[in-house]
Amino acid sequence: MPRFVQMVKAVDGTGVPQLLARLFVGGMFAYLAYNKIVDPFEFLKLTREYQIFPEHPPQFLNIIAAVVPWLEILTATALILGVFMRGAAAMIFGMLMFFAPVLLIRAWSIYTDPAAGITSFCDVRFDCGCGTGEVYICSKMLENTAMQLAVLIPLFTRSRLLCLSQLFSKRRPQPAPAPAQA
Amino acid sequence: MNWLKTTCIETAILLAAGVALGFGMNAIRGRDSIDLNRDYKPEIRITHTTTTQSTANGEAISAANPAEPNEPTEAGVAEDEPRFQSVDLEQVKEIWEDPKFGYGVYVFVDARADGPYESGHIPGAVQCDFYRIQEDIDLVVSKTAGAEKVVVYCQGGDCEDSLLTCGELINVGVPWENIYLFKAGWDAWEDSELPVETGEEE
Repeated sequence: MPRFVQMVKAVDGTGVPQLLARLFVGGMFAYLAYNKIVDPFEFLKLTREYQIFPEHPPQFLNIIAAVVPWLEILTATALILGVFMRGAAAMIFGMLMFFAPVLLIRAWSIYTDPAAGITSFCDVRFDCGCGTGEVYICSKMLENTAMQLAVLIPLFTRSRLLCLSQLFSKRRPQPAPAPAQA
Repeated sequence: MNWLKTTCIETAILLAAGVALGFGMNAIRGRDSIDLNRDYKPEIRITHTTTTQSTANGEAISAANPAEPNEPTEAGVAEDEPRFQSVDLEQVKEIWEDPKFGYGVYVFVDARADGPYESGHIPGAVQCDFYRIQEDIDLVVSKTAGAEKVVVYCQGGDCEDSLLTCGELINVGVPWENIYLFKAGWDAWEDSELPVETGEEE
């Protein structure tokens, strides 16, 4: 086995990388979701601005605005606690994969709008509805990429360090055999 | 294979639980509940009859052509935005300083959400958040009944909440000719260092 792979396995075996990744991504996601939950109507308005979802029937956008933040906070909590860790990581990865092109398209439409008068793509600043108010597109994309990469660790790791699911695991450590009677 | 199966099952469980949680929490949030069946960006239909309006000192207020709502402009392009009479900061200030405002003949309607309203609004303005209108509308109807001028504002800039609220006021029977849109909104009022009232509605 190549030495690099052995080293990665050894580091992964400590459980520290997955723990840090869970705290970072889960914490970020929970924070962003909380900000959306605080004002659901603001999130609804910002979702509408993307113009990627049909406005009619109105139930479609309303359900997205009502459900997505709670879905995010549940997933983030599951990731932090280490319950359904892989599922939570997969879902967050999927959501980030969906948000990335959506953000880029919106930023591009602002950039190409002559009225905006923006000369550099990285100068595009708008409220993406992500829960942090107005952001610069380049820093937002960097943040998303960092989260996408980090969430791959809990998705693929074998470690279950400080995972709540371990408490309910069927594979409990076997008690040591009793010493033979003399 | 086992990894994929576990991941898919866990994802499905979380998805189902998240959706259920979302619907459940939305149902019990009271003022912050999204009415799933409501159109939050309705088409505003305005019907009106007069154009001539003036401020307290007789100054003309800009009024759109009231003949037909959303009719094509001279260039032949239909306007996206329904046209309400608009007032600027100076005119708003005159209306606010007019004694008729104190008697309830002129009314200010703040179309922003609770947080911004409570942190500062035009003194005497009644809150009517379009998105939470079921909670506010009774008070607004009682205040605007018989009012000669109803000035509606939101944050200013690109905010559309005042426009949507104007549409809702028409739906509850406030005549178009009594409604004035203060587009520059709260930002302009605050920047002018005019008096500010904070806290919840009394």
